[in-house]
Amino acid sequence: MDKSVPRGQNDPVSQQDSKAEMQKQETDEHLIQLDNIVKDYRRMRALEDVSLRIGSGITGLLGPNGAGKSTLIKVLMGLVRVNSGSGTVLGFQIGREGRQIRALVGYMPEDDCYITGMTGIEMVQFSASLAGIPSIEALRRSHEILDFCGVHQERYRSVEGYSTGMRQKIKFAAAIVHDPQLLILDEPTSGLDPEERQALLNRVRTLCDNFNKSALISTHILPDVQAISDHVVILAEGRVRVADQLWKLNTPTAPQYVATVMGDSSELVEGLKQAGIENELMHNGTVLIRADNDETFHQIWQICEQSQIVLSSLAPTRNSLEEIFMSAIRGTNNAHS
Amino acid sequence: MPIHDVGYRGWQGATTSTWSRWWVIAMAGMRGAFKSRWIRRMLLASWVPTIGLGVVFFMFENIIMSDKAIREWVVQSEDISRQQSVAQIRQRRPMGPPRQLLEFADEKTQASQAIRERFIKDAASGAWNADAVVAAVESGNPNALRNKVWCWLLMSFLRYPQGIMTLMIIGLLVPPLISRDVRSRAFLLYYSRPISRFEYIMGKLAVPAMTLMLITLVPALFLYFFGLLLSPDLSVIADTWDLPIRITAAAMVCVIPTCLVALLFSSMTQESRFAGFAWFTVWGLGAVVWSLIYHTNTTNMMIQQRLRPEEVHFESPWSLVSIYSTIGRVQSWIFGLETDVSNALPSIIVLGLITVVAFIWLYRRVSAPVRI
Repeated sequence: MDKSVPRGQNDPVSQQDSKAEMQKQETDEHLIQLDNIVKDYRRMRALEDVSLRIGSGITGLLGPNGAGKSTLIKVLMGLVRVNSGSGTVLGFQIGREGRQIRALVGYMPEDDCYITGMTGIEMVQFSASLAGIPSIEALRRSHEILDFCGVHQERYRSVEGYSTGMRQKIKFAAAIVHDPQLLILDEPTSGLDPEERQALLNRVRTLCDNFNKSALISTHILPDVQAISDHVVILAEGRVRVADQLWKLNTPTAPQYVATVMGDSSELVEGLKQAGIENELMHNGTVLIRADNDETFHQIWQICEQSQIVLSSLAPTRNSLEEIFMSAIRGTNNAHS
Repeated sequence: MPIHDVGYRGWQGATTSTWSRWWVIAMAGMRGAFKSRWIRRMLLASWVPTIGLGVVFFMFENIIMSDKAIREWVVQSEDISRQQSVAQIRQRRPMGPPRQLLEFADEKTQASQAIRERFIKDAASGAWNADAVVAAVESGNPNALRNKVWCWLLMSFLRYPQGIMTLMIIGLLVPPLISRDVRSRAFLLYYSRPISRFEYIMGKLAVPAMTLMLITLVPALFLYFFGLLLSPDLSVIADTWDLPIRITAAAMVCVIPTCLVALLFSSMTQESRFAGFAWFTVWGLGAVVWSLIYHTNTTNMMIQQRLRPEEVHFESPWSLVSIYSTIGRVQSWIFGLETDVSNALPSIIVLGLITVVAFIWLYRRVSAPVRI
């Protein structure tokens, strides 16, 4: 039963690999394409007219509880059938080619899931074998991946005795053991201490930067998304509220700058008001200044010079992810959850 | 720090066939099952009856042989039809073989016939489905008798010692198989791989199925081939060629429905002990109910009609409440001990329904964690 066949010959999944390669090139900018996806669970609508284009790189999937993130992931993995709409993941049709999708995707579930009675190394080897890696090779590969994930001698202990953080590592190792093109990570850093959290994010970043992988990270921890994501998708009430590149979202619609003054900021505020420059004194003593041309900057320097104000910094503001998130879900029922 | 940490590396090796993925689940389950000391002990214990039955096969074959050898010796010397008895030969051909030889043959044949009948009737007295064997004895055809006796012995082997062991081993082995996955939410780990829910069920089903085959199919086939080797008469092959097919079918009839029902119980709870309790309850309750109905009615018949125990023959559709009894009836039809198919048909239908319903229900249960 352990009979090996070369990829691209007898194995239907393998035969699709070359197709996937070609389609990946064609859809390199859009690893995931969804068009008007609707998914109902009996009377409850989980996804409503979801259309998405997700490119290569790291994408943060955000949303309050019950926003439809887990359902979206299940749709992408081909685990649940959609009521209407269509889409592709890595060039394969969702729903019809779920098996091929799952062969190329590494999924790390949010739930604390493990296989009872197995040690860490056995569980990762088992995951590799399920993905089609021959057993001996699966064992070798599992050791390699566990080294990469920072699991040392603990790999020989039963997974039932693992701490939450260790289980997260094992789940991550099981997700990447078959060298998937796309990682779908559901709350990958929950339960990890700050050091381990940073290490896991670094691993994801390494895989994406150095090994041409892409990742979709569903999380509630906004700093994680801010730290490593290239794109952000925000879901609320089953609809896509925001889907864009993070740097674009961070850029304010009107250019604003934060001025930090050595000493009292009120003089600067007064001077700016007199000059007709829009500004706001923030609670931490900094001054938010709207400056959209060089003339405004020239006026600011003049005010400082005339009033003997020492500016310690004048930096452009960026929209924080928290603001973007709160703004996106404002007005939805999820905002109260 | 690992001594050979090479960091992350891509993997471009050859994958196993897509259709063998269920085997990975089955092998993992088997390794887990054989870690249990009790399972190992029970598997060993379940081979003990095989030794006992091997002795019975040896005895039977030698009794049959003593009769047939003499008969063939006489028949060959006279070139007379094998169907004729020694008495008939002497009557038709008074100038045939020497009188002393015929008397010796007759004496030996009668003795062996008496021993054979005694042996078979003793063994069959009061035993379930012995009618076909007694009928074969009375027919006087040794070839048909051998087939029926072998069928009856193998059927008894599968039904009594191995039936009890099947019940016990399934009760120990199957309950944790899916309930643990439910409790540890392992479904997502399985279903995020390129395997289907059907393959998941196949993998889980293979664990008890292979274990049960080790205590039913394998020892029964072993007994069959052991019997062939012990028999000093080559005609045994012609007489019993159909038995491996019957053994396989009878083992499957036991293995598939029971494993599916046990897996269904396992999928319905997070606590394997509840699944185990449900398993033993369904079997035990069914057997007790049928046993009560049977004994109440047969006792009434004996009292009212003044019958002896061996004269009482009671049939009732209530026998279908016992899975054990239902499986036994289908197996006896497979072994040819129940010749009237209409008697076995309700049991076949019920067993088929149990199998189909258990599979569909099980499929829905293992799909449920993904649907939510």
